[in-house]
Amino acid sequence: MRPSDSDPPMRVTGRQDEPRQTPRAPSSGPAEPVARSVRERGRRPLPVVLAICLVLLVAVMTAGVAIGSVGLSPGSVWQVIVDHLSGHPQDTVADAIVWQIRLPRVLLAAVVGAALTTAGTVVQALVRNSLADPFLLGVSSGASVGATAVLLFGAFAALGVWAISAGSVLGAVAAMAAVFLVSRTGRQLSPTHLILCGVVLSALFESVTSFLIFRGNPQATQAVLFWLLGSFGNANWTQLPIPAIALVVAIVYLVAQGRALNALAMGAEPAASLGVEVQRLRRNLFIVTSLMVGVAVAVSGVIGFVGLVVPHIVRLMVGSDHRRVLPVGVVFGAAFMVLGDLLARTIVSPQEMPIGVITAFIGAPTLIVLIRRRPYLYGATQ
Amino acid sequence: MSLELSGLSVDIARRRIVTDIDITVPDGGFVGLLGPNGSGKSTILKTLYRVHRPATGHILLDGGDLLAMPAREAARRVAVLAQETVVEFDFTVSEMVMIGRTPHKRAYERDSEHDHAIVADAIRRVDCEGLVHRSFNTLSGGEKQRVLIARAIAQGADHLILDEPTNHLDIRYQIEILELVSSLGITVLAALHDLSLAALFCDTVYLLADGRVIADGRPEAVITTETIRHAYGADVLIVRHPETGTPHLIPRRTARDAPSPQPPGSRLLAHI
Repeated sequence: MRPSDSDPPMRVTGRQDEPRQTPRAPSSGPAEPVARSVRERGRRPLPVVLAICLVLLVAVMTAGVAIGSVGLSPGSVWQVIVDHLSGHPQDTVADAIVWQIRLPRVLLAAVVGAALTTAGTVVQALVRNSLADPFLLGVSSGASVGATAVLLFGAFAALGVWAISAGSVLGAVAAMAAVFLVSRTGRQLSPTHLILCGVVLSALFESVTSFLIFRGNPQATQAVLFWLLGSFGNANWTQLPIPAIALVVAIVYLVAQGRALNALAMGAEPAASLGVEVQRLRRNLFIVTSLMVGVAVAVSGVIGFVGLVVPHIVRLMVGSDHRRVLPVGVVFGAAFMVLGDLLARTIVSPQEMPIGVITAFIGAPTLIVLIRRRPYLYGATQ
Repeated sequence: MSLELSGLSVDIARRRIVTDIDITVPDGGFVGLLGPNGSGKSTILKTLYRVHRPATGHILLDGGDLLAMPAREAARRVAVLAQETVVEFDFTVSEMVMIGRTPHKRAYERDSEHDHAIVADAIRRVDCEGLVHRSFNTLSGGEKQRVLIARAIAQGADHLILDEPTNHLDIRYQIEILELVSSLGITVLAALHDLSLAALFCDTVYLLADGRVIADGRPEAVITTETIRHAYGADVLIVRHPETGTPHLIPRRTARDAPSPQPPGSRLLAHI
């Protein structure tokens, strides 16, 4: 079957006389400028973008701690933080406000913002749909069932302050398992099944929540509605470690998968041809994001729009390469959520607005402006 | 040696799609996989890159079991160019080609100067230097396929699988893409829709029907009126390409009352 060299005549020139080796750019010639522009990507360098976002985050967090019913100067805020970190806390009013009330709240908002943004980015790549958000997979509605059961019927009362967290994490894990098992066909976890089963089961869980509210004590439903819309009003230091650890573990894993996520964004078959073990990756991504979202929802309630909008804002800033989107998303998502929480508790002060209202009010117009100002996805021209 | 499929059968949803396939792709060869829609071409190719699992049979790469290799290692040997794919996200051309380096890189490993040089070289070889920073989604179909060839080049594999890469492309890009692929000097296994084009580029072709190979060999031996009627159930005339002598298909109408060729001077316009 192997054609001999004298074989006529349809051979195309150039195939045999150019044995394929690992291609190397010649040291001179036209490849060098191309290599440079490949290196520079036509995008802002990642360290610059990260630095800008970090400055933004620090500024927003400082403002988040300084601003409130009792105003503090940024200097006094940092003085309290430095005092505590150096082990010499002062016994002042400012110290109590900063350290006991506002700082844990701001840090929790930052962690949850980072977690929802990261989860949104990954879920969008997982189902290859830029309209996906982390709550698509049913996790949040499962968590809502658990939290509602706690708030209305005193489930897990023995766990005290941890009851709501326990209820929502349990609900989230149960929902995750249900979506995972229902959407699997054989060994495969297909995006379409994942979306459909996630949406259908979410609707089912939401109706369970509605049923619980319907059967529950009318006075307690106020608390449920407030929880469902999300709030950092009950933040304290003890709530912080678990979501923070979950976020760090997830980020460490996900950044390691940056190239594989890029390949997966091409589709399952191209990813397989690039050496990605697609089914295993999808399963791991599903579990990691579900757990991260479950833990975040447990401490903050269901805060919509962040996981959908912030990944898009970040992609518009740095492109779609997940090795850039993920780290920038962590910092920017944190800043976004801290700012949202700051507005939620100051706009109608002394009352607090549910933060979900704020995130939607900031997020929706921001995204629309960005989409209209720059060519984005389809139909773009340059 | 090189790429060998032996006794390959594949089931999808408990239905046998291809049966007992034996295909040999010699080093440096350009082998075509022909056959009507649903004859199993894509199924065979997708088994090579692990979308499907074989029910029976083996795929040997230089004598070793391709499917037993770690996925990354296999991807360093076999790259794929498929039909135009839709990408939901906004990647630039250089980012797209860099994705070809995926099987060469470990977790957290950054793009090295070597990777940049490989990507730049790949972009240069497909003549896309002017598109480096363009968004992939803004390119024309032909440009997209050229960029995806660059990605396959950057992948550094010595085997390339083509799964009908020229569908939806106009004739200029069909020729251009296949010419480009055959100039790479790598081993090619290609499912192709256009039999005349396949005859022009392939050394060996395999003709499939209902999941079985019904003929194989040099294009002029395989592509005949009889085999095409058997495989496709279509009547064609076959002529020789005036420059290369390769078979070229001319479709015929099946209906008996099809208009006969118009005599010169007749009122052809009246039919339009």
